[in-house]
Amino acid sequence: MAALLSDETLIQQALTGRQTAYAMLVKRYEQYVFTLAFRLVKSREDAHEVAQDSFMRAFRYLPEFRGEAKFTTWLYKIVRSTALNFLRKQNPDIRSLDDEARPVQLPDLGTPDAAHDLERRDRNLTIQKAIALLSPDDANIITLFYLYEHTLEEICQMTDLTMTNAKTRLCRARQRLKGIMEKNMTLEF
Amino acid sequence: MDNNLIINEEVLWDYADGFLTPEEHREVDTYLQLHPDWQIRLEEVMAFRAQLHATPLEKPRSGFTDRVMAAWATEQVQAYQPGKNKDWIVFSVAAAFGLFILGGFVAVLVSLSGMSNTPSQMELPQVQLPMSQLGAILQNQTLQMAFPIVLAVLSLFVLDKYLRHRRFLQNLANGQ
Repeated sequence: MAALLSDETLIQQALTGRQTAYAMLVKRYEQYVFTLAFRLVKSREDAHEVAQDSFMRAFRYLPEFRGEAKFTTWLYKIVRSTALNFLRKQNPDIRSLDDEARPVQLPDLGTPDAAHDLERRDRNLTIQKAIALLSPDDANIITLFYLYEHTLEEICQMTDLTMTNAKTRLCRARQRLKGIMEKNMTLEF
Repeated sequence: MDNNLIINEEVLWDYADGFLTPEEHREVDTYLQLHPDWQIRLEEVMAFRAQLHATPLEKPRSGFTDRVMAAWATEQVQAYQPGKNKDWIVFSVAAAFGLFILGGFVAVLVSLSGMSNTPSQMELPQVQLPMSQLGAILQNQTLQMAFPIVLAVLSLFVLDKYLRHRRFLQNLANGQ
């Protein structure tokens, strides 16, 4: 029954002080928020902290949610901003999550163990691993478009990018992802 | 190629992602029919795209929702609890309100008992002050009965608000 309730209904109920509505929103979006947080901060432990902080901030600002955009669009902005604040606390030099500021760091996968480990993993895990090696912004645009199936228009709303820039970034992220996967595949042999 | 669209892998991705206009889409369809090798490349793109779609999402640890709700409840309780530094405001307002009520009672009692029994020592001109009209109003029996009732209703209202607020805080603490 709870699953049938729309986001708008849950938000209205939450705003009247109903705690179960808040809990349902968390349950519904915990994977969404956690995955995005993980893509941004690259650590499961830190992602838990960022995800929790994101929900807290979302609840605090819930009365300001006007419903002009999708709830996930609004939520993404909060996760991104929370992650950026988190990373800035750890490293004050970080000004953006763009790849120029945080270049892709490829770990050494040339050891036999690492190659063997990759060999044993299934295709999904290979992709997940490759996504984890992308810059936060590249990883996010791949996640938003291909995993969450947000439209390019929604991604533009979330990231404040123009349509052309979003498309270019998606294309670039995909090429990098493919490059990382090809490199990993090469290292397997 | 008998069209203007230059086919490359990015165009195939745009085709798969639905970014092409209907006209461009038709051009690619025509091209693919004529070039089976590109059709195979499109199938590779589609397969990779399907794998991306099928990639499982990251899952937080079990009990994540409970932890968020507990943190939210704690924050709510802290937000609703009157801070120690704000207590003096509440007490001041309550004291002022109490003094106002008490002052009203004293004024009524004085006007009812003292004024009428005071022997007049001097012949003073009789001036009709508005206060005497107020005294007449305050002597009205209906008003005298209504006043405690209004006070009682007001007190019950405040008590009800307090109990509701307390129950809300308890619910929050219990995570309901």
